[in-house]
Amino acid sequence: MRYLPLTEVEKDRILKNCGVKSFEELTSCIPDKLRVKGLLNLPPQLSEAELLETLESMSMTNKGAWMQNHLGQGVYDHTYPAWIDQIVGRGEFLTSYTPYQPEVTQGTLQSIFEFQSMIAELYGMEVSNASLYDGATSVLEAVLMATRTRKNNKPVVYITEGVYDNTRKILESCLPDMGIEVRTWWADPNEFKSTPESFENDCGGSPAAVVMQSPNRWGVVESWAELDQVSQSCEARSIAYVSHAISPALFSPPGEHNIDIAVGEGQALGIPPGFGGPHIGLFCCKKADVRQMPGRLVGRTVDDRGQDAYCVTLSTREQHIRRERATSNICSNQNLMALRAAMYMTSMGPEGMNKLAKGLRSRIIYLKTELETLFKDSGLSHAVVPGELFNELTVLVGPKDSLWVDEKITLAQDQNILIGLEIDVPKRSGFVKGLNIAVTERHYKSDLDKIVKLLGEN
Amino acid sequence: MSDQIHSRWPLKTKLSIDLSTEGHCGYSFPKADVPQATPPEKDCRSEKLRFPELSELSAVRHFTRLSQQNFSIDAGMYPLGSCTMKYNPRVNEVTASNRGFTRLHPRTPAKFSQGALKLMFELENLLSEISGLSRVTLQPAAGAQGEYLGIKMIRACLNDRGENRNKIIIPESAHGTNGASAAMCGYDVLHLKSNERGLVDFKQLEELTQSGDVAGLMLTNPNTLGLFETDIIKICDLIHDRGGLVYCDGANLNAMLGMTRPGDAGVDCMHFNMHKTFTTPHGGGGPGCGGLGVSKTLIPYLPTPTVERIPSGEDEYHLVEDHPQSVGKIKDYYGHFLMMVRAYTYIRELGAKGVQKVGEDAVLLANFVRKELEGHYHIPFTQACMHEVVLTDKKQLENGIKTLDIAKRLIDEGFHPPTTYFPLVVSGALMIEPTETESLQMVEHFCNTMKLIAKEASEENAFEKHFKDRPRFMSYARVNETLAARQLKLTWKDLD
Repeated sequence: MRYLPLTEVEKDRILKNCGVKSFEELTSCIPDKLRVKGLLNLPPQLSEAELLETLESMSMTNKGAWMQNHLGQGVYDHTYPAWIDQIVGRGEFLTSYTPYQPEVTQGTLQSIFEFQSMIAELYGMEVSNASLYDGATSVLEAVLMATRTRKNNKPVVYITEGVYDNTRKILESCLPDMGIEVRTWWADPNEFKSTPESFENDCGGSPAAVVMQSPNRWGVVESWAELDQVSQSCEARSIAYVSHAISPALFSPPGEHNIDIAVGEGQALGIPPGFGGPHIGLFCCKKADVRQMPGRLVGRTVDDRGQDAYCVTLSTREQHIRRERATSNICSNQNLMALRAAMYMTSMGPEGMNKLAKGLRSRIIYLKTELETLFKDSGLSHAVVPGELFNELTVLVGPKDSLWVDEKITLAQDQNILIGLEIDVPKRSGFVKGLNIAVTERHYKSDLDKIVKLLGEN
Repeated sequence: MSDQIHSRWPLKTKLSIDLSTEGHCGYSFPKADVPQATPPEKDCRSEKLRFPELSELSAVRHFTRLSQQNFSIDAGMYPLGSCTMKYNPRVNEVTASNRGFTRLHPRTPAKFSQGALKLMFELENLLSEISGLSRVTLQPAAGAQGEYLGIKMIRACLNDRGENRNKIIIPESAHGTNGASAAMCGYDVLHLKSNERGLVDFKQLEELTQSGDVAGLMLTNPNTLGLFETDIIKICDLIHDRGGLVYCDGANLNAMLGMTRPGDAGVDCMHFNMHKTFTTPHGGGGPGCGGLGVSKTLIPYLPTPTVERIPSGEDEYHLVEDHPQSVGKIKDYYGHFLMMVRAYTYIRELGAKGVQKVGEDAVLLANFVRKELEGHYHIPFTQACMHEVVLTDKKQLENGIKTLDIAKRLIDEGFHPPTTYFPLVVSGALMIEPTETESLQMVEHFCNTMKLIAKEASEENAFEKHFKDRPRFMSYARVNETLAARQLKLTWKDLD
């Protein structure tokens, strides 16, 4: 076995060293009753060639990876520089341990420091950690942090109606264990976004935190300024949930609006969709709150020769030291993903990020304009969500067209297109369903024209 | 300035922001051939991003030089106890980079993602067979989240029984995550001492569970002293009799592979650390991948969705959301899928014989270390160990040399230090786990180095002669961690 070099002769030598006759005698601490008799029932051993073949054929039955893809809701098939795969794959990055011994892990540490710097910059915030699992669980950690720092408020969090379905489900399944209630800050049914007015009408009390997602699940860009206004009015911590990591390169970032905690998904920063993971959770806050932050942090210091050096810092917040009083149970960061994101942002530079953001927005606005013309010309009562968009839109359909979304999804599949996702819309809007369509820089005008045509067919 | 962008040997690199030249960009975009939209009317970013501007070569060179400042398994042995720093096979990286896996969106309809669903379904079954647990979910993002999920499912199960228990028992030797995970589920933690043999103190366990408010026990087996909990059946029975459930921390599963199965001993759930036992890369701290195996009792509480084979008997799979007793979702989508591809590849390469040899060889090599270093270092628990052995600095301390000095001294000999000062129940611990992928020659060389260090530590004036200013041969000397915490500099903005 190529990974298991110990020979029978060597095994005998060790057993003899230990003064025992057999492996069973060496492991006599295992009760006989619990010893596996014979071999486990596992499929036969494969050679490397067979492995490559088997896994390649399995991967090829995932036809979706070769279709024109407009699926979104937080995961996007963006492009990234080819060198990232190569350099992340260097064994020095891939097979290094968590950098608790700073003298032998300066590579990982400096790259995390650069990652933290760029994420904090992107979000306009003072501090970023070294990353959490994903956007959704970062929101969860943010709410926990917010309630820790607002103990006099009610253990209640308001989340905008435009928060992703999955994120909402995670909050609803995890927060009640900690005695925290999840309530909804409903959207204005005409604007498809939550507003200070809609908060005033439906929400109240003194919640510990208010969460707003932007762009929201329907693709509409919401306002961090309004989040700040609302959270100040009820003395709650404000949590900005940045759903697309390229969006703050164009739109005003949370840090420009006094937001307390800014979190989000960073998958768009050079990380492939990978059927849902690993992706990366981004987490930023104000410097004053850094000791309440979850997850790993890297700081700059010096070594004994006076050189600039980096190390993990403020570890006393973390589980391996603070145990059940830690700020979170997380032990890992998404380090290889943080490295990918750092490489991506280094490649893009400020101009690249800005250009990509503008390009995505131009594509979605083109698609919106074309669809609105189509619906008007063909007399369909469908609409496209109003307001500012970034990379996603939702086509809204009324009660008599409730089958339309499903039909179009199927029709598109026949033409090798994953046209989008069926999502819920506020029923108060008069619409009953939505077709959510995402674009990336992989899509040309001709691709968009194709889906407009498809949606116009009877 | 040239000295800003260039360093002599050893090849280091400045912060990327200091290598920047205005106007450089390292990426080529597909052309946006739609009409350019007018900028948003309001709420635009007010300042240009302060990101580095680098050509592709500058960026590649920067990160290549960074990588060269790291120690790694590919470069040398990592005897880190409880971390299972085994070889990460390269073929895993190749299989996980198939386009059909990487470019697949998690919301792709089942008929266009059959390979991915099949892989998850099969991996769950492989892990179920290996652990002896009835069902596996792959949703947890990492071991810590697996722990959290396990405790959450225990809570849901007890709630269904109409019981509102609020305490979890955790042995003192446990990993810090155990307590933190239990706390995130709203539990109070009761600490359990080890007995004189380094194992669970059964008598104390009986006392702690008498009150009827104990929801369960979180047990690491083999424990962090590298010892197998011989009484595990009795322990599980006791907890069950008292109305609780047993969580097993799977961090040390490598030691048991093919030898014994936690499910057979009666545990109700156990997480897997794919990056330890099943060779997904450590990656300098993540991402992890942490499935959870559960007993029949806990199956109804599994998180959604689950991957199921379509009952018609065809080789066809789908995701099922409808589980009324489920604890819900804890992680976006299905977990770290690309890590699952790596773990699956590894288990398929091993087969049953390979899996068994992994466990055996890991235990044999750890015991080799134990026998070799006996007499040179104090070994608090002298019975045969499983996959790791715990030493202490008790002998060396008599001459003023402590665990930290030994660790930093080892770096200069080309080894990563062992886990130090953990488990906390042993003072000055040095925890060594060689793993089965190291050759006996390498492990022997490591032992000889440890013996050399023990000898140095026994000499007169040992600290001045051998341990001061270690490591000496690296590009970096001892890093000032106190200063980092005192003057927080967390981004390049803080350096202005």
